Amino acid sequence: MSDLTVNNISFHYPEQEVLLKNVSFEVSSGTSVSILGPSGSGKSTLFYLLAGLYSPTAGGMKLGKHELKNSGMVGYMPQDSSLFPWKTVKENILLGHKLARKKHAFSLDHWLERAGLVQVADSFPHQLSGGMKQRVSFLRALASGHNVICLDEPFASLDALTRTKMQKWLASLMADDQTFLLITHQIEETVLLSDRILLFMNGLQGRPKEIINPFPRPVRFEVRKTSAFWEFVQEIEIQLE
Amino acid sequence: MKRRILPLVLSIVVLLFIWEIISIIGDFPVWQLPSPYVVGLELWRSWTSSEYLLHVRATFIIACFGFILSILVGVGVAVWLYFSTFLTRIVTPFLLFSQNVPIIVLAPLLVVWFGFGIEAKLLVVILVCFFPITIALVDGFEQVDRNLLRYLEMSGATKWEKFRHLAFPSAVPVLFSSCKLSATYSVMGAVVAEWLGTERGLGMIMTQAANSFRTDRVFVSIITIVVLSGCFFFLISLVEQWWKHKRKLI
Repeated sequence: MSDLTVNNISFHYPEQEVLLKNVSFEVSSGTSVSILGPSGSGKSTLFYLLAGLYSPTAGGMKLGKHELKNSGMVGYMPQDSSLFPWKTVKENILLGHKLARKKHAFSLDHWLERAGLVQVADSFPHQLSGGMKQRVSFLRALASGHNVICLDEPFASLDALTRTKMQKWLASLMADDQTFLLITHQIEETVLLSDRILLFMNGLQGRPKEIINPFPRPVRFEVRKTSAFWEFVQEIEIQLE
Repeated sequence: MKRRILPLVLSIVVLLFIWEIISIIGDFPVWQLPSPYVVGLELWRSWTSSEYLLHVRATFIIACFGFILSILVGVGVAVWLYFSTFLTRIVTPFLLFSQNVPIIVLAPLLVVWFGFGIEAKLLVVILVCFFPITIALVDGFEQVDRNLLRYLEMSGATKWEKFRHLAFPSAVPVLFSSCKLSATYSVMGAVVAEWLGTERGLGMIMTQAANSFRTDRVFVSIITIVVLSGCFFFLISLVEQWWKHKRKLI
């Protein structure tokens, strides 16, 4: 069953050119899908539409049987972590849980332990490293209890070493019953973290080209040492050009 | 700490020195410009007199209660304006009006309506002090981090949740700044209120001293007002430091 259906949506900001034009795609429940496209093509705006920040000017979106019209129906992890500076790590994570309209169980201690954040649970964001901030931000999205979680360039601001660590960490935490949508400019990252890749080669228009990741999840990070992995990365790169 | 206090002490010493030189060279009569030494003697006499301290206490009580009420009114009005755009349009002109009428003109009217009791004096202090708090908070509620606001909107947060998790915490630093400003205004407001008529208070002492050309006593009252204002300012700064410490900002 298709968990998320995006049907022919178009969107433009007031007094600006059309950014999204008749975009359609489906995402099956429990899969991880990456969205690749040129910079400034409206990928983040697509997430804003999914999260109900804006309404599409045409078309519609469905989550299961429900129309995706209101905000608060999908989890969201922003690019810059966007943690509340006056809240501790614990409070930031629990905010995701508090804001969820649908009440659900969430074990904070369990997740803090899995994220390696127990020692800094009572620290404030300014006391954390970039990687830790992103972990807190991801846990906050998980705490919202939504089945679909949008990750908007989650590791863009991190250095290469921390990014690799975070990719491994995220891959280990991606549950099979949750759906992940990922925006990233790192093709390598899309291959490591997603089951399917949606390629919007000429901006967000129409139906994207879909590529099935030949390296099934959880992908062993060792595949990066194989030539097959890099050939696949290069193949996507060529298609994007 | 030493680095902060030393320049202050130095500047006071320099000021007193210049004042002393002017009073010696100008050979002014005491009623016109008393020397720092004369003012210092009167200051010592006043601060060690229980009668004078009763006057200080009367002003302190009005300033203190007036200031606390000003915080409540200032915060209350700002929160009210945050939640109602419609009311903002209605109330804002009246708020501006309340600040454009000089308090010295408005105060006698308050005495006519509320009498010589503490109510009119508290109202004067509130009218002087609440506005900086309200204006600072209204701005503070608006000047929120756009990314955090977007996160809350995407999470389906209600207006109350946006206020509780973002607008109010964002405005806490400006709340402290405006409270420091209002704290210093509160003593001035209390003294102005006492000019209208009272049995006790620094305002009355000042009026009597000015009428009888006891300029040294006027200076003593001014110094007492400055010290009282400084204490209020210091208290707010302490609370601010505690808040920053709690959030591990220092």
